[in-house]
Amino acid sequence: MSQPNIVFIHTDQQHHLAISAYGNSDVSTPNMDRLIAEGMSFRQSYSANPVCCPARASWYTGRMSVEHGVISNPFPIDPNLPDLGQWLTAHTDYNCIYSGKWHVTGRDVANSFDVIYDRHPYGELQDSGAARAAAQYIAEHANDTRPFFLSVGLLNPHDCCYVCGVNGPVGKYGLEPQLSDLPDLPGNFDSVLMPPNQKHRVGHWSETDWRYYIYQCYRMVETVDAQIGLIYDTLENNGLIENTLIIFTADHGEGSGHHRRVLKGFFEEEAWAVPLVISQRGSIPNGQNDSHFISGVDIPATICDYASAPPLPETTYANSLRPFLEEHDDITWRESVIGENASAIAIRDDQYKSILYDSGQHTLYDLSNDPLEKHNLASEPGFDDVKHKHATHLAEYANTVIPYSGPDKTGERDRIREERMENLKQGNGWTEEVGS
Amino acid sequence: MNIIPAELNAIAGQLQNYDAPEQTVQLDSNCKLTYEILQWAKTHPDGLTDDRPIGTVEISRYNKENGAEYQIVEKRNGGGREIYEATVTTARDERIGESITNWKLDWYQAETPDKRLIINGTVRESTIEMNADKKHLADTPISCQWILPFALANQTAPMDEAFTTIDELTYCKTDQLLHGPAQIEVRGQSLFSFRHTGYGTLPIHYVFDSQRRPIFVTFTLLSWILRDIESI
Repeated sequence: MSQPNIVFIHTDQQHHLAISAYGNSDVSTPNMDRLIAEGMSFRQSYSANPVCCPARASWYTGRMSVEHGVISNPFPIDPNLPDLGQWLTAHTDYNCIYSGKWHVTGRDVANSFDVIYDRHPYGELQDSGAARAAAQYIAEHANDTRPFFLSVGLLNPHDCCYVCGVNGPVGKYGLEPQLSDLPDLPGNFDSVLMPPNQKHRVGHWSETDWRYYIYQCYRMVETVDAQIGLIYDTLENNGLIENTLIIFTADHGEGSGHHRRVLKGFFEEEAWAVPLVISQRGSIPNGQNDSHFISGVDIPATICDYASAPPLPETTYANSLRPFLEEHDDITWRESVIGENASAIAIRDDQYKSILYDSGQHTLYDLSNDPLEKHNLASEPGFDDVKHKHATHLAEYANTVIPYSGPDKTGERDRIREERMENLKQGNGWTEEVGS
Repeated sequence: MNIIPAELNAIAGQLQNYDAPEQTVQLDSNCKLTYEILQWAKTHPDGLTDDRPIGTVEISRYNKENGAEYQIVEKRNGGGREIYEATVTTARDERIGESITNWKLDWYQAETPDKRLIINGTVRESTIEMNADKKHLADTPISCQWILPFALANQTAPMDEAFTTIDELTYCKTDQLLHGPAQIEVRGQSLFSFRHTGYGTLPIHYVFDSQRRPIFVTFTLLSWILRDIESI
């Protein structure tokens, strides 16, 4: 069989359950559902860092934030790291094509891919064109002998940032009473974790405002769903659907009213968990994997694997998902998943999640008995074994990763490398709480 | 204090000095609408907005037996400088005024005019065919954002009509609803609006003045404001 084309479709800020095939009746996503019906859903998939630029830097380098240096949006990527576009171009016959949002700080996508549609800061103005350009490319190159790796960066539902006041309120506030089909509030709406920087934006919202916000998020998800449908239909109509690996995911989730929060950047499930579906008709079995923990860095490892490229260099945490997609029996896999951002590192296993903030505040959830993360058990007695286990895993992680050590104007990356990572190496992640 | 109706929040700043065109034509005649496309840029504490012009849309309508033909040219700056050139044929439809029967969309970016996405659409017996391949079932009337300003102009009765939209003549979206007309007040002027909701649709408003001219179409970050209306 010839090398498959690879189409990597990513949305921005999509809650992992904002998909109708996963039982959400407030949203209709027939095209995502179609991918799910034909492919493998990874239901325990997590962003490497639940913020745009870091998550994307991980997608394209296979490295964690502490390694590529993009710990939050303003921090530029290590200029010496090869990215997926450069890597596949150098090591394979793939045409590497990009359409839409890139947003890897410090790197011009045009130096890594052939760009067929530039990004725009608003999904409403970008996404339909990005999907159309992708469809045009697919149709034009359907008969090429060289395979293509086409990455499509759809921006929505990220536009929800602009209706909750990040850049000044817009949208149609005051319209809510006219709408009869606003979704219910999430079950953990009253377990408030709203950070101070959100209070001035959304602290005054009524419950109807919140429900309208969620309504809008869902409509934006449906909008990108239709655009995904165009790409899928174009592959199918041009006879490419059986020779194209389609990977669909999101860079991070969205607060969507859970814990009375909007946006992203935190490690509760609504922001950290992401949808992930991989399909190739006739080659990948339909199914659902809900027992293995997937990280965003596993996606580039999988792409390299299918493209017959060597793994991206010096990746420490990434693993190809291909053994799952080929239903191997003897897969050794990580027992937990780790994420990090500028202020915290988090780990979750099959029952518990620890979020260790650099400030010293810690959170522990029992996800088996408290899936909505309403009860912080960090100060409760009886969890020393869990804390010790998580501290051990984090120490292993800290001893394995290769932290970014390049120029650091703000000192933040030095601080994470020298304080957070060193602390974790000593097994001290939970020390303060365990001992308190 | 912002006393702008929710429908027009995103163009609240523009409304301060907006003057509708002087001409009046019947929208069921041969006519042409020209809109400026605005992108919301910033909302000020007083509720007014800055909006950035990012393109134009021109829609020409020609009466045909039992329907109409539309010629559309939209130019706008999104991720690229996009150009939409389209021809749409409609048939009269008692439920929604007019329903699309055929269309051709020719879409490209100004920088790469040789790379075009062309979509030919046909509606046959409640089935939408796009490029003779993809088929969508549609047992409801079919419209799109370029046709609705005309189709709704003479609609005075309350509507709750399900329909299918072919967004930008590209994206087929079923289960769409139109609500209205609802009366709104802007600067002492009575306007009426229709609200479009449904799968993949953030509420869109088609706003008409007392002469039944569709002077505003508001999406969310994007809006159209009428700059010219003429007989052709």
